[in-house]
Amino acid sequence: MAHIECCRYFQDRMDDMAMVVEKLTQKYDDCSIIGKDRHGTHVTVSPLETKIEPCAFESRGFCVRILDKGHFFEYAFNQLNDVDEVVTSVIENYQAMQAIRHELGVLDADPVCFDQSLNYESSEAEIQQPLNLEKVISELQKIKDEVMGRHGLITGCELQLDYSHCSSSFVSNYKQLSQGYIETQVDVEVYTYHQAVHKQLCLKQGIEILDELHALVDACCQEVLELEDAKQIARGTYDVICDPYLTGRMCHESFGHDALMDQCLKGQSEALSYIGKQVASPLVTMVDVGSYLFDDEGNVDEMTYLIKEGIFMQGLYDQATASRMGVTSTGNGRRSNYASKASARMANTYIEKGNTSLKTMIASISEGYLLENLENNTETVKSWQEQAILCKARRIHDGELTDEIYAPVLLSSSVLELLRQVDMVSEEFSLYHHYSCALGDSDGMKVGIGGPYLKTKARLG
Amino acid sequence: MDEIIDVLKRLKITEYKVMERSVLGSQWYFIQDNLDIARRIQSQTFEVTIYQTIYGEKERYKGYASAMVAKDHHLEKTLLELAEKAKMMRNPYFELPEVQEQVAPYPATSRAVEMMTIMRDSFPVGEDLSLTSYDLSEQFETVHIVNSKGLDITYTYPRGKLQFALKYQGVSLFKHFSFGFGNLTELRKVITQSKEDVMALSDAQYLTYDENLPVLISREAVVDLMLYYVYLLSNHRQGEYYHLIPDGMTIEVMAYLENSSRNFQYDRDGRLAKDVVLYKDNCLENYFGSYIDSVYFKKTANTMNNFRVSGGTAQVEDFERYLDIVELTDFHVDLRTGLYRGVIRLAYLHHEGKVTPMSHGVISGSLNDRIVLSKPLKKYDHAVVPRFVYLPKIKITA
Repeated sequence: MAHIECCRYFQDRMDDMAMVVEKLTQKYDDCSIIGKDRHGTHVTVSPLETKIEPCAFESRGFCVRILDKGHFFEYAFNQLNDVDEVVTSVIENYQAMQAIRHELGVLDADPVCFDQSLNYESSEAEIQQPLNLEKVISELQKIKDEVMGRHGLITGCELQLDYSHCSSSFVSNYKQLSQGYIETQVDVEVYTYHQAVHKQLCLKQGIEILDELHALVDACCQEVLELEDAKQIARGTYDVICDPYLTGRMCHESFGHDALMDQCLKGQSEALSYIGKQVASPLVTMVDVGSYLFDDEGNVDEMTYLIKEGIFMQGLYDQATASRMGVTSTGNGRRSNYASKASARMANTYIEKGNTSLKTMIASISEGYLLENLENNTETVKSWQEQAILCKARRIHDGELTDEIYAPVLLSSSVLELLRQVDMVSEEFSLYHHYSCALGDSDGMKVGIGGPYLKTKARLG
Repeated sequence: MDEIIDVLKRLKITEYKVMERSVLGSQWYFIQDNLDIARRIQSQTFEVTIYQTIYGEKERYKGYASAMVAKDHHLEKTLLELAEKAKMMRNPYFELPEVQEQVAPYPATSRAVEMMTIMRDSFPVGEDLSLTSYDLSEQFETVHIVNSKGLDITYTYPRGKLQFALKYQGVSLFKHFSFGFGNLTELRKVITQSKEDVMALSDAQYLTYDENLPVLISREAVVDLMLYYVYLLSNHRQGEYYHLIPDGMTIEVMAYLENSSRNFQYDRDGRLAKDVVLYKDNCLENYFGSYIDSVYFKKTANTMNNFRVSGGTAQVEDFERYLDIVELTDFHVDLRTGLYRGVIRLAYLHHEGKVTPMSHGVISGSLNDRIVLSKPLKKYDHAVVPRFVYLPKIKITA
């Protein structure tokens, strides 16, 4: 058993970070600094090669935020060896940006005022075993060779393991926070001539993830071969059951992105006008909660109810947006890395479980489909309007699940149509921590999605 | 850089590559035309790759491992660990790239102030058509690559993006513009087209679809569609699927494309980027990929920054009546399977000289079905592609 702490690099520089804050506060109204680090190893085993690289999104650095007469500026950098040098760089870069602002005659947006509550938190996670790279490579190569020989139709198999140690430390005039955790992800891709199936699994654990790998590989192989024989579905509106992954994907992509309040502030979402209104069946309660103690603006995470019994309660806020809109941050101010701007981002978004068994849900359908997500990409659906999700559909006939597979099936009902027509929510529930959310062109960020099985009606084609 | 190379030499590590990246970036976020936040980024990182030649009974193999390193007291330990990791695999043997010609860097000038001025002047306050928000980022990155074969090159490239949201009569439209040197003429064109689109969108009818109506896709979505065929020539498909490329299609990679955000002069292995024909006259000429992919393919693999797809014959005049889809949301092309799908944000129905804006409806299909390319081409950020594609088997749910 090993303790995972905030990385030593930040622990050794907490005093320097505090000095930077103190010195800049003498010149400006307020200041904070966050250090973010993600480091680790990425192993790829494919039919062509085996390679070891830095983990996905590996980076380490700092971001200083200053508040000057109600307006703010950020300076991101990756070496903190001399406090005075950093302070001078912040001042010089701020002045350079101010000069451009004056040249343009640009007005600042309304002043902001940040939360000043006192707080101190620290986290320590635990893992069973540290990374043994030789064991990982040997295991992945063995699985890849076995899969390649498993069926004549299988033409390729690629396996990846990404092991990263993530840390962040935040210092302001009111708080000193630090946290650290391990994140390990495996990706499996199996392909035939016409089909490809990609599945992932991510745990806040170490190499013990390999214990789960065989089941994931089996699922990929089974699905890719099923897709080879899949039929075309007749267009129509059907009784459907969405599996937990599809439910989660819709909560995130189709509903959640428009519930990010910085998007409302920028005029890219109209979710504000839905607050207090019925957006889903009374059986639906949707929440967002972080796997972190504090977000990238030093706000402690709390569970946020997006939808409660079908009513849209509120969206998700970062600190600046919350301040401009006169509310409190929901602790969703997140950065992809130290150099990225903090914006409102989801954490783990899911629908709470219900009290009907999946068996009962299937039995209630005389003709319909059990839908599973077929895609690995993430695309944001704007304004809760129509969507296009490619699914795999397993036919339900006379209350029984059959072996008939239909794919690709296009689900085109809007998320509001789907949520409003939910008439059963399962007691079975799954969460997936590997979902990668890319907002615009920013770097991907790990989020969690999931939920129960949902029975609803959907347009398929 | 020198300090890291000295440690590598001291540790008697004979095969290596060191890549140094220095970034200077600026970002501005506006709500309407008021500055919400300004940001500045300055960073310097080092990535080291260590290669090991491994001797089997009859053959030689190559193992390699990379890691980000810092110039601190852990450096020596990190490099020794990396050297051990590189021994853990047996990939086909190759030699590292040799000395490459150092070319003159492209001039890198900031255009941010001019671009912000254009944004401000294009949307006067008080007009019905307004700018809701915009974000502008500009980044200058210098990459320095040195390897143990004497390769030593440096290049700098600028890249940026502008995202903006417009509103007209309660209808919003979101646009994205990527650029290299910040071409102001291109920006003005994008703004003009965006204004026309949001006004058309406010007047758009619900799409009613007739299965006999030819459907064309134009604008940026064509780049995503063409990328599927380019990727058939990559290591992602192990070089075995190029016969899925439609007859007559020509695919080229280009080292330089004016105003592209991807004018990298060298690839990650330090090889000079070149103009190369990948596929022409139904014949495979080259692959695209890394230097190491060349070893696996046993045929040259070139880096792909900018690309050009041509060879179409269709003209818009060939169609008397057609639906031209110009804006899609939730659009995705699966580069492995060629399946595509998306939601129609804006399309124009052309019939008997009349053009009617339409919206809503969902498209899907496969790029392995028949596709017809236009003869005229159009340039977007890093690609030159047919002005439109005709997809006879597209499915529309409206």
